[in-house]
Amino acid sequence: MTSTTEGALTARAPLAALVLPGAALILATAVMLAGLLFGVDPLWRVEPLTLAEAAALRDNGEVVRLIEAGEDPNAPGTVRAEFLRNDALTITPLEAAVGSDRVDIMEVLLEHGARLDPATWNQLMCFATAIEADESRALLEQRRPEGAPLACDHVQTPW
Amino acid sequence: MSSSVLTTSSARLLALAAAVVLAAGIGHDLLHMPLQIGDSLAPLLDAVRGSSPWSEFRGHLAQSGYFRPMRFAIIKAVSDLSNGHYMLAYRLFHALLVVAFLVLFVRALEVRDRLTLAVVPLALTVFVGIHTFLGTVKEIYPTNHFLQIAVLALLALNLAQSRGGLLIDLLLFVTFIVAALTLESGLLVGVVVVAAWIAGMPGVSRRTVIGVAALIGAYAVLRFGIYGTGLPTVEERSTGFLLEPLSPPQIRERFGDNLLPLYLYNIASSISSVLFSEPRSGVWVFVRAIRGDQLAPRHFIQIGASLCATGLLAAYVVARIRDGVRRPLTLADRHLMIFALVLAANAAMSYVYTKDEIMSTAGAFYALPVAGAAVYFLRLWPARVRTWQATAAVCVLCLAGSTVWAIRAAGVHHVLRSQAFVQRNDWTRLDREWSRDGNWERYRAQEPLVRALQREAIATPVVNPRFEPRWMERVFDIYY
Repeated sequence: MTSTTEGALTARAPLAALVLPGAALILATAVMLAGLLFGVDPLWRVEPLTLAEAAALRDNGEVVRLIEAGEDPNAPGTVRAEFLRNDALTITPLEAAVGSDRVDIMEVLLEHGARLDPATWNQLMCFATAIEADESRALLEQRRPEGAPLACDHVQTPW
Repeated sequence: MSSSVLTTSSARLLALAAAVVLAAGIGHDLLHMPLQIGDSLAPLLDAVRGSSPWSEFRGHLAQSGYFRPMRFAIIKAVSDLSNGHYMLAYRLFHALLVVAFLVLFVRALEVRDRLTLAVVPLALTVFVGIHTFLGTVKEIYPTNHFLQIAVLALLALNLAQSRGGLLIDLLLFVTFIVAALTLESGLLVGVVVVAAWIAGMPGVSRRTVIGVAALIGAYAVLRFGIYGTGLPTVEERSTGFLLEPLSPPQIRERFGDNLLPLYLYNIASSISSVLFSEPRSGVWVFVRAIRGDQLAPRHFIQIGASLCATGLLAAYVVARIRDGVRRPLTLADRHLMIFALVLAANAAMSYVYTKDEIMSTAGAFYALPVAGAAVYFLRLWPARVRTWQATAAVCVLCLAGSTVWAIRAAGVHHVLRSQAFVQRNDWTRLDREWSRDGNWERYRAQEPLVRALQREAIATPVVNPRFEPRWMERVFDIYY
């Protein structure tokens, strides 16, 4: 390398170091915006969820949206592996809410048609007790249907 | 001659294009966000049932503790223009303000050659990456008045950098009036005008300063004399102190009637927040993270970035003093002086409670002298005797500093996505919370509109945080 070239490089190197990261961000933003013209939106790519998955992932808004779109809040659905447990599960949205111990999700489900009859209550209560979901247990106690017994001997819980 | 004029124009166009690209990226996020409930839905409903922007303006002249009639007039104006598409209208208004924000900033840099153009990416990442910028984008009420004031302050700076004249003076007066009547921080436009005059900006004359001073006096007479709104007190809001936020009762319990230490702390922490990214809304989150064993890379990124940029400013001040400069001579000198005065005034205004959002105007002005300082040292660099070791060290420092700022700027998208998720979820609690707070009694007649807004918000697709890479939460900023 000649001294002239080296001198030019050392003269410009700090400028390049200052400019490159910001320029890269601007360029990436421009590419992202251009992608919108072709229907590609990497920043706002929304993954479809089942109702049970939305409950497991504490997505109150998606829970309500799916129910209002016609999903049955009492029907079991798939929860993909790694969302609640290592394995995939087939559970009801209320079970998913208890599994993640989120009372706000439980309240949303109950407000939007999820049934809490004595059998369901008993099953959920046993589940909450088994996994030590204390907040869920407290809510279920408040919402105990009249005459609902608590008997967990023959109750099968999701885990 | 004509080729150099073209070069300047081309340089400025490219700089503006860079600003528009970044702004459009953020605007794209904003258009994906649902309307929020907190501090937003009630003012929107009030605006819808108001008769006109002028009636809203008059109706809010005598509000206790605050003097923001223009804010409500603007909310009403956007509501009227929306033709029923409220979410789209307010989000579009917000996005357009962000575009204006970045464009006015780049315009104030007065890009004129390759070197000043080359510094624009750094300047934009500092402008967007500083945490006070988040306060201008992550929420709307249903307009973001912090952003409005910051835009007006930059508009005033641009006018101050013009050739001046009677028309510029009138525009500055109008800018000040709109800002001062929108939010208390709007008085900072007056500070910008005075600071620009002190700094020797060509667009501000003694006449301008006298006019703004008269308007400030008129504001004081209107607010404290005629309408008697008073000032907000510590009973209004919580504020951060040392390692935790304090609620109003906790503030009284700790300080009693001697609030001076709290006021001084709020002012000092506001200044420190802009210069060093700590504390955040009065809370030293870095120290809290150390004590709670919750340190994450983002703590080092934020503080490191601010140390680099503020260090650059400090080095610039030392260099200029060594050059024998005792008054502002260059644009960078002027920007530095204006920033210092705006920072002091903005911090003084947050004496009652401190929030990152309140410092958004000072944060916007921070990037101006940082860019100027960078240009100054880059111009000197080629003439210096350079060893490869010194060059390597400087390059590492420059690359580290600019990289962390770019990371901070990129993190704005992460914060907005997180906010969208939270804001959509808030709509599912509307019935419960409004029943608890008594809002349904107040807005029962507008229930159809509320339900329509709720459906629209719930239907807005947002990204669930579960699908974001885990490293983002550790690297990018979060909402404190």
